[in-house]
This record gives sequence, C-alpha cells and structure tokens, in this order.
Amino acid sequence: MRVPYLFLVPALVIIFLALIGPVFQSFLLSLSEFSLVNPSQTPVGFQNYISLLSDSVFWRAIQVTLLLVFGSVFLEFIVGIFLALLITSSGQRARTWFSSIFVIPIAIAPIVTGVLWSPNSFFDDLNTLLYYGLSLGTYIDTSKPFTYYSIIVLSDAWIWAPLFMLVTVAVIRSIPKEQIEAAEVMGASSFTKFQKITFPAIIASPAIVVTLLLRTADAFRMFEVPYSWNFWLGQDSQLGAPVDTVSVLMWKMFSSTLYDFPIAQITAMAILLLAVTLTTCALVLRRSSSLLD
Amino acid sequence: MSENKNKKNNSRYIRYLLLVSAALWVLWPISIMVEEGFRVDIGPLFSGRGASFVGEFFQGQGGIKFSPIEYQKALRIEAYPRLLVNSVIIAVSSVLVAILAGLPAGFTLAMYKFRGKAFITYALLAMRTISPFAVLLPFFLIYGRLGLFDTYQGMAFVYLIINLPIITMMMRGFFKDIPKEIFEAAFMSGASDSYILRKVALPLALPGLAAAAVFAFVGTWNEFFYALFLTGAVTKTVSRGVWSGFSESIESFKILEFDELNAGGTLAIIPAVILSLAVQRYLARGITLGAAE
Amino acid sequence: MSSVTLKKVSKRFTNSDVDAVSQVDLEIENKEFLVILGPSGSGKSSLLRLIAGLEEASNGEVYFGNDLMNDISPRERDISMVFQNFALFPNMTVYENIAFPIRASGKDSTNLDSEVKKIASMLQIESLLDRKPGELSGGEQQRVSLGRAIIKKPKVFLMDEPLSNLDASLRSELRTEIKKLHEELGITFIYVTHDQTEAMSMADRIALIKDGKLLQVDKPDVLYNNPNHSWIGSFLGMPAMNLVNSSDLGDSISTKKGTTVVGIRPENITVSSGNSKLTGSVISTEYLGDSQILNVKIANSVVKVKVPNDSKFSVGTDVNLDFSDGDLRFFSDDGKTVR
Repeated sequence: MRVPYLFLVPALVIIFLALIGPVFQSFLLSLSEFSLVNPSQTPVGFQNYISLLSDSVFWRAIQVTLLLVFGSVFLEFIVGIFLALLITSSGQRARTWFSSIFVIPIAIAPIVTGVLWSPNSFFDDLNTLLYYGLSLGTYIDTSKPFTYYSIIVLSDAWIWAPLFMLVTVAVIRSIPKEQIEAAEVMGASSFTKFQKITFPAIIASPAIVVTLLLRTADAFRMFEVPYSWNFWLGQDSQLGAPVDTVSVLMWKMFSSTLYDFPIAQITAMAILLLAVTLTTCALVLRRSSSLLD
Repeated sequence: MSENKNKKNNSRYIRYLLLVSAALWVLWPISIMVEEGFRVDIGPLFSGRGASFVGEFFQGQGGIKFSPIEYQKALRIEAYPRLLVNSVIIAVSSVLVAILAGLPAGFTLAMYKFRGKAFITYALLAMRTISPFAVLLPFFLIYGRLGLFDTYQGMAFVYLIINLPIITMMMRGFFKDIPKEIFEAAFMSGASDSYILRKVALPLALPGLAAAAVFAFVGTWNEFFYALFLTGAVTKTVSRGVWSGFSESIESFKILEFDELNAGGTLAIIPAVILSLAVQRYLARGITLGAAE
Repeated sequence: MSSVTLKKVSKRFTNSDVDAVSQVDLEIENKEFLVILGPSGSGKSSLLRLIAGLEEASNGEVYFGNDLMNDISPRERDISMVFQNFALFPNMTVYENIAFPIRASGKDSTNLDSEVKKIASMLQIESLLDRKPGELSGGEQQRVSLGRAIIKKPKVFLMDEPLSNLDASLRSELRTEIKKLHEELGITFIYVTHDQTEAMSMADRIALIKDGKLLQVDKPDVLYNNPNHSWIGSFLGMPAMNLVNSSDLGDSISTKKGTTVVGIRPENITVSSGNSKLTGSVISTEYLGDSQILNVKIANSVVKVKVPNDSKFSVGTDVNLDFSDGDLRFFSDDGKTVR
C-alpha cells in the first residue's frame, strides 16, 4: 500500500526543528569552549566531558540522582500495585470514587507538589499536630538529610504511584476470570491467589516493564521537587548541595552563567543525561509489543 | 457460616480502612495547601529547620485568622488573571499546532507499515522523555537571535516538545482502536487518505482527539522548566508565576509569603485537576504514549 | 469483470518462520464464483487479502486479467470487499454508507441517488436508509455492506466470511441472496469461508486450502466424490469419509497398488442381510434426525455407516456391511489419492 509520506512532513519538521537540531547543536556546544558573555566557540574536543567526569560536584549530583530515581520508582511501583489491588477488590462505586481521588496528584503541577510537601506546608501542619495536638513532644525535623531525601522520594511517589495503579489495574483486568475462579473453586486464599496468579501476571506484563522504564527515564530528569527543596533548605546558591540532582545542578550552573560560567559544561552534562534517555527509549520500543504495529 | 460472614465483613472493613487512608495520603497535602491559603498567620509554626518559628496556636494566643485575603491577593496582586490568560493562549495554540501536525502523522503511524516508522516512533518517545537541558541552550541562543524570547509564538513552539508526541501517539492509539476492516473497506472504496482521515477516521476518533487535546493542555499548563527559562514579564505562565511570587521574594529578601504561595498554588491546580479527571481513562495512554498497552 | 490469476504466490509475515500462504497457483475465471474453503488458520483469509492488495505478497504474482497487480494499491484495483464484522462506517447513515464508494472516489455522482435506492430495494433495505448501522440487526448490517460493495460495480467481488457473524436461519437466507446477486451482477466472486455448507451450496468451484497450501480446486461434487487427498475426505461431509487402514480390511477388498488407506463415505455403505463385504459389531449409534449413524468396529478401525432414521440396531450386535467397489477411494502413505 502506498504510504502518504506527505502526512508525516509537518511532524517531521517539528521533530527536526525542536528536537534533532537543538540536540545536535547542544552536542557541538559540548565540544567547545563557550560562554554567554563571550559567545565565540573554540573547539576543545572532549575537554568538557573530561573536566566534568573529574568533578566531584558532578559525581555527587549523580549519586543524589540515582538515590532519588531508584528510591522513588521503587516506591511508586509498590504503592501503585497496592492501590491497584485495593481498587480492583472494591465494589463498582468505591472503585469509581477512589480511583478518581487517587489520580489527582498526576494532574498537579510538579512545582506545586514541591510546595505541597514543603516543610512550611504539610510538615508544618503535621508537626503542629504531633508536637502540640498529640502532645508527643517530638516533631519531624525536615532539615536532616535522611528526612528530606525520604520526603522527596515520597512526594515523587505521591505523584506517580497512581500511574502504576492505572497500568496495574488494566493488567489485573486482563487476567482471565476463569483462572481466578478456578483457583477459588480449589480453595485458594486471597494471598495464594495474589502470589500465584495476580503478582506473576503483573511482573510479567510488558506494560509494567515499559512503565517502569519510562518512569526511570523521567526520574533521571527530575527537577521541580528537588529544585524547590533547594529553597526550603536554603541551599539555592550552593553548587553541589545535598539535594542537587543532575538537573538542579545544571540549573544552578546555568543561573550562574551571568558570571561567565563555562556553559558548555552544562551541555556536556545534558548530553550524558541524554544517553540515559535514548537508551531507555530504545528499551521501551523493544519491550512494547504494540507500539510499532 | 456466620463465622465466615464475620471474616468477610472484617476484611471488607479493613479494605475500606485502607482505601480511606490512601485517599487521606493523597488529599491531606492538597487540603493543607487549600486551607493555608485561607490562613493569615505570623509565620509557619514549624519551619524546615526545626522549631524555630513555634507559633502560638495551641497556646491560645492567636496569631492566626482565616480569611480569603490571600486568594484575593493572589488574584489581584500576583496578576493571576494575566498568568491564566498567558497559559491558556500558549497551551491552546501549541496544542492546535500539535493537532495539525500530529493528527495526520498519528493516522499514518496507525495505518501503515513503512521504513522510518521505528525512527519516528523513537523520536517521539525521545522527545517526550528528553531532559530539557539537552535542547535548552540552542533554544536560548536561537530565541535570543530571532527575538522569540518571552513571546507567545516562542512558547507555543517550545511546548510542541510536550504536545506533539502526546497528540501523535494518543491519536495513533485511538485510530488503532477502530476495527481495521473499516479502514480497509474505505481504502477499497477508492477513498484517498485525506478523505478517509476527514470522513471516517476523525469522526470516529473525535472523543479521543478531545481527550488527547485536554491531556496535552494540562501537560503544558503544568510545565515549569521551559517557562522558568524562556518566559518573562510578558508570557509568564501560571505554574511559573505561582512559584516566582515566592522565589523572587527570597531574592529580594522579603518575608516569606507562604500563604500567598499556597493560595496561588490552589488556584493553579484547580483547572488542571478538573480537566485531568475528565480524561482519567486516558491518563496512562497519555503519559506512556500508548507504550504501556 | 475480470479473471484473477495467482502465480506461485507466497506470504510470510514478519516474526513468523512459516508461510501463511505457500506457493499458491490459482486461476479464477471471469464471472466465476470461487469459494476458498479451509479450517481456521489455514491461510484462506491471507490469500484473499493478497488478492485484495491489503497484504503484499512475499513472492509470486497476482494478475487481474493480464494486468500485474503486485504494485497496484487496493484503492486502484477496482475491487470490493465484504467483511465478517460488516465494517460499516458507524458515523454515517445507511444511505451514506452505500453512497460512500462513489463519493469517496470522486466518481460521477449524477445518478447516485437513484443508484443507492435501486441497490437498497434490491437488498430490501429501502426503509433503513436513514438509520445508523448501530441501530440495525446483524443481517441488515451485512445487507448494507453488500450494497456498499456493489455500488461501484467492481471487477472482482471479495467476501471474507461474510455470514459467520450471523445466526443459522439468516445465514441460509443470505446464502441464496448472495448467489442471486452473483447471477445478476455477472462479476467474479471470491468468497472465503470455513463452512463447507456455504462452500458447497454457492460455489462454482471450491479451492481447498490447508496450512497455506492449495490442496485441490474443483467443482463441489468432484471435490466431495473424488478428493485427491485423504485429508479432504475427512474435512468434507457430515459425517466425514471413513478412512480405514487397508490392513484392517483383510483380503475381502481388492485395493490398488500402493494403497495404505481406504476411504468410503458413510452414505455409500448399506447394512445388508444377504451380501456382505465386511462384518463388524455396532459399538454405538448417533441419532441425527433425518438419519442415524452406526459406529461399527472392524478390526482396529471404526467405520461410520449412515442408515435410515427408523432402523433399529442395538449396541453389540454384528452387522453385515455392503457397498459398491466404485465408491471406494484409495490413498497412499502421504495421503495422496492412488489413481
């Protein structure tokens, strides 16, 4: 059949202008010495990458990013499955209401989520409750690293667990009813059913794998929540602060370009991050059975 | 028998308890933001750095009163209506362009197998997943040169990075949902691709197009990163405006206007939440571009 | 109006290591009603889709008349197709559905209105013209889809299991109508089905396909009486042809050289009181209404015998079976007919 290639032209033009062109230029910039104050480009080869890879601030940001990525993706995966099980085992009306409530965080701008989960909002309330309301004489000290890393992970899971819930609910619905009924007839307990039927189906589902991959790729560029925490912790002017993910670090470097910062290093960092994105997308395309049909 | 019934009832209570706790986990932070927007207090009771701002709420000496003044302030002083209009103009025009380009592309991806299909799908996935920093600098430089900085056209174009993959891939999915024999019958009737797209595919996928457009709109509405770097006084969007009310106050050493921030945040999320709930069936398809199906 | 010729046509789908359609040679005459018959998964629909151009052949050539069609898109092949699931446009009325091929292809539409009405009356759906497909029954929907297919007067009319989604009484009704349609239109019909009753009752010729290979293309009676493969004998007929290992028959029957399996139709065997070629004991009976079937055990084989519905046989009794030698069919090891 004759393919209407003309139909693809507008999309391709946008792809080239907004994605491939800029990425290519970023790559060229990353191989040169360049700053906004002095916009002449001198090729320096991989010098930017080398100095980046020998910079402890960069490695620190990588560590923070990895910690947050795996922490939050793992947590939202678990919480998502838990929510999906709750939803699918409830009656029609409860299901409709509660799943509507559970998906709300997805709709909220991530920057607002940064505000919601800030020490001055949620934890201000919670601490007041703990300290005075319940007279426990104790409160959650959000300035401790373990605490604020946990909160960032928690707030990312707060946004994205519902996505895993949605995907998992679809997977559970696709399990043949006969399988579960057969198990019930044979006297299987709820836990056995989960262990032997539901959980293996969830784990084996390409949809879940693809969601995990995409969420991992998304978490690598995580910006708004750690960015807001820079302000809550008063670290916004400190390069390589404890909550600097790679993206936040790039933002700080970018903001300081005013002081003639070697801006090409930012693009080098972005290109390294891009490698993660491109790899994950390739895996998604390979694992998703239906995308290329 | 009755023991069995008791057990069943108990497990139902436990399930409802868990559902309600999960709903609480979702709604509590949001409700605090909404409620704090109504509060005028002398400062947070607890700040992030511990009990440095211990309020006097429970000591009974007041310091807090409830009033809609922060909401009024947000609507007035923060020029919220202006932000709202900006966000709507930018999101709507960007989504419209994305529809013009993405509709025929999605149709072609759904109907045909051809060389380069994997490339386009991969490019769209990468576009959705890429870290903004990988393209930001070229955008920054080119927008500076072309005078697109802080303009509606410039922002509408940059948001195609979000909207084109969403519209194209979601529409691809909606076209795929239509039995393929319908299109085959149309092909054999001698209809051209554009005739089929206009007279058969589009009417059948119209609800899907509405859902895709709404989803893309919300994504643009919530976007913070590009807005942070590429908007200024003219085109500042809601999500940027909500935040900058706060962050600029830090920079100018004003007192934290936290209640104002909460009021603004509340106003910013209302449209996004309502619209997202309207299309909640398609959230997973939108977020994963149909890969998790 | 055109003949259709397939030359060594094969189709292999990506991610598959067997041919869905394998080396098919087939000549369909102008104005013929050819039925492609086969069990599910035999490649019959793929074969039809290759003729339609909805699939590209991996190998071989498709001709309409003398014109090579391989690189012609389905749009330009001048064909119509009717689908199992009707494939009507749900957003359009019946009228718009039938008129679609004329409007969509930008053909001369001066007589469109009278044309649509003529077709509608031919198919007895005049009263439904303003309805949407969703408001119609399955049978009515398939009539509409027939109407949509014939309005553009195609060279070749393709049907992919058009009656399989309908219930039995509607099926036989539409069978007659499709046959009538074929006579009125005088164009080539290619009809895919897994239902042998449909094939037998409608076809000028039947092309029997299994595992992507054409086994036999013949008139229905030839196919039924003289299958060139034992599998065809066992596929056609209710009940199917008895296939008995020749070793189970002893010396009472003379077979052709190379025969390992002997076939005979259940209706060609009689239970006789006198003459008998074989003797066996009844192991069960099946009542079919108009007739009944005896399962008779002979050595290691079970032979089905069709007897009148009023005859009485009790399980365990011995019966003598008689038949004429001319009704015997002989097959070799690989299933092929020994001639």
